[in-house]
Amino acid sequence: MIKTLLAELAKLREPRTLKFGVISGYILLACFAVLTWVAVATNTVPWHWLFGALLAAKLCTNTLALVGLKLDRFALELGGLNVAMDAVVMTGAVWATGDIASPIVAIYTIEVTVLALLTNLACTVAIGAFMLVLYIGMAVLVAHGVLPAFPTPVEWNGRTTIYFIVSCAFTTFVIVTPTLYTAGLLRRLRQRERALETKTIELVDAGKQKAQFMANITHELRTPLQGIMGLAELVNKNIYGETTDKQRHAMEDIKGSAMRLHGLIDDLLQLAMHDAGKLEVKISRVDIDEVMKTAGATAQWLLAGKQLAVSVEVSPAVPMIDSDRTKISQIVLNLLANAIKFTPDGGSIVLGARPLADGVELKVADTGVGIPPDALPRVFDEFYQVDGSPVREYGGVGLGLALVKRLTELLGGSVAVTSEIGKGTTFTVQLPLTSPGEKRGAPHLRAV
Amino acid sequence: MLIVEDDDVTALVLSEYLAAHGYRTTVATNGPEGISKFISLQPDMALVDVLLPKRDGFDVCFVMKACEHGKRAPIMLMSAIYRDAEQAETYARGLLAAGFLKKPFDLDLLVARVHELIGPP
Repeated sequence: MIKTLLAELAKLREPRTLKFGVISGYILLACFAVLTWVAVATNTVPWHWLFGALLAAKLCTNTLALVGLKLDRFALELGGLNVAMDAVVMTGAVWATGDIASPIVAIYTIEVTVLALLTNLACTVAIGAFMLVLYIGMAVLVAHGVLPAFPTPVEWNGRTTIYFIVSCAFTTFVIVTPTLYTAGLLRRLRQRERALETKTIELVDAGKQKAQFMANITHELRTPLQGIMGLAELVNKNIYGETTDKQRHAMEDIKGSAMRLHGLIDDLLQLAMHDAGKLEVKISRVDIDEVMKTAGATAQWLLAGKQLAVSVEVSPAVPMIDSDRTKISQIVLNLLANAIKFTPDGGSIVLGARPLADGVELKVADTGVGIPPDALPRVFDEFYQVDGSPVREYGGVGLGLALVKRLTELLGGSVAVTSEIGKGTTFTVQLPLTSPGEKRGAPHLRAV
Repeated sequence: MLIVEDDDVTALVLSEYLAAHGYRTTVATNGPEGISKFISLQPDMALVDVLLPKRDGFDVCFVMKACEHGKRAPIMLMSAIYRDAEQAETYARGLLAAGFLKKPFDLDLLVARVHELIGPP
């Protein structure tokens, strides 16, 4: 705790606060000097060398703080010293007006209040503790006769009218100063709070609108793509007459490209929903074996003519888990699409799953180009591409793996990657037996 | 069979493919048109998109199922926009629809489902 307080102390860098300290310091000094002069000149309090020493010391620290501020060197340190000197001078004033019986002990509260409002917690606590030490130290020194004891003002002349007026004025000062400060500050705080509230509401609305916009735009983007894919399939399936092999291949490529675009749109929507905090996890019993086999079957679509061997190896011991099927499937499909993209013809991809002590581990391993070690930690960053150069061999915008990471974390799991250049890459996803999320309840459905 | 779908190309693809498999198809491009064709033409089944102009597919399905003819003819809902496919299926079943197809779907899968529901053409 002391460490954090010290760290906080070092953060005080507001010239405005320091400037205030210097100006108020001079005012305080002038007041005390006048009071001392009056008290000594009227023989109410006998002169003590410490009065002069304290006033001189305060003048020094105050001027040093001013110079520090002007030159912008050690401004914070000198400012702190100056504030500490304030406390010392105040203690001197308390001592000179009857130490423990002094009626002006309350001046300490002004300093603490002003510091609390202008600086931070650490600074306030520090100066508060310092004042306490000074006060008790002074009281002990007087009690043991090291410092002389002075009479209190009420003992000077008794309860005179002047004393009455000065006392009332002093109390007013002590009460009004912190009150005005606090009131002003609180009003500003309330205003800021209200502004912040309005801003938050606006932001939440904007977030909602963004998610809705993304949903709309993805629908608008998907619809023509479905048309493209559908027509390509019609031609491919000889609905419009016999086609040659070449034509069929072209149609397959059209469909494959459209599928990729479709997948990208899905990823973008998911990320937008995640950003808007709208990705919900719907928990149900998930059969990992079925998910992996479905993904393996989908590989044929994603291959788009590429010659790769895709195999599914799910250990029979893999248990059913409570998780979100759609999201697991999306994770696997994204990893699969990634593996297909970076594995040259003739390579192989293995989709695997095995049980863990407290969950399951999914694996997508390829014999592709691999990822350089220095790029490994960044592959899950959004829009990151190992080769970001304009002449790179592999396309994509770098959304797939970022989405995999987000979805895995959403399901309470983790994703890791190992890779060897030229040998291949293996992504492993670990999922818990039960993912955090909403249990499937009464069905309600909205577009999106 | 009746296809209620507002996107021309998608409607064309669906009807051409079903026609190639021997099913006679009619297309409606919005909700009210779909309902009126469902009542007047009495198709063996209806394939209804969820996001439709004027009346959405859920609404259309509900009205169709409330008709006398709707008690016999199965209705399939389809959409590219769904928050979660399983939930959409449950909701479709709640509306007495025969099922929910998430777009894009394999055309052979559609034919298989149609075959399952109303038999060969």
